[in-house]
Amino acid sequence: MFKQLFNESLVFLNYDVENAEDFIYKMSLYLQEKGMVLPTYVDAVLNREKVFPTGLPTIPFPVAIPHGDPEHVIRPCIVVAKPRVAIEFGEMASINGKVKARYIFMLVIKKAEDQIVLLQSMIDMFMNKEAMYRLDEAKTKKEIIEVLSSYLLENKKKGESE
Amino acid sequence: MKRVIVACGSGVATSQMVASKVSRLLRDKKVNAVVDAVDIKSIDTHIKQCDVYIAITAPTKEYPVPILNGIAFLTGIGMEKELDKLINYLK
Repeated sequence: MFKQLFNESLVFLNYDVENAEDFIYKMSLYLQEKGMVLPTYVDAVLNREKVFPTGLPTIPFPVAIPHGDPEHVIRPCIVVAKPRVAIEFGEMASINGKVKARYIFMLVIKKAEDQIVLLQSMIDMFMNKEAMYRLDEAKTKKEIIEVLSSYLLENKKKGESE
Repeated sequence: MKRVIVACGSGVATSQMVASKVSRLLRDKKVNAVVDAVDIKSIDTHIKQCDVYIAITAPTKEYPVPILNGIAFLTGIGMEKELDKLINYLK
């Protein structure tokens, strides 16, 4: 499951974007070119982000998890992006709150039930200072994937043994 | 059995994450309840068949059941407090 969702071609370091809309737009087009999403995906994510923002004020680093409705997804994957400068996203469940996301995890998924253990361990990872500092020290796409796999796969095993 | 619903915009990612987390936390505390992720669009139907509503979107109206802050379960900030409240509502 981890290998199906994460890979180096979907990791972006020092990504140059102006704002959340710009990010969603560029990334959706990239995914569309790779045949992962339908052309309707970009508007689905943009609209959803407006109505239901996805910024999380997690500690140590705020993150955003933009996503659209599943019907626009062809092949599920998770994009990991660290923008050059933290990007402002609306705060989830808040009317006017904002968070400056240091990481953006775009969840391109069809059925959460299939990936729930992985999604759950991602949230646990966002709250895990040691894990996030390690992620922050990663200099290459390969290192990012290594850090993610070391935390997410370890958690996954725990989840499955329950 | 008591039923908890968790709703987010698409019912696909965030509500599932929170539902699975809450269900794990309740299991650890040995509290028996069903936790379901639902689509916000069908909230009015589900609200009639639940005991607690965990919201991940800013609630826009009043509901006849207690509402808890789902973000606490996503960020860990204030989570213990929300969990205590939830357990109380489920007693």
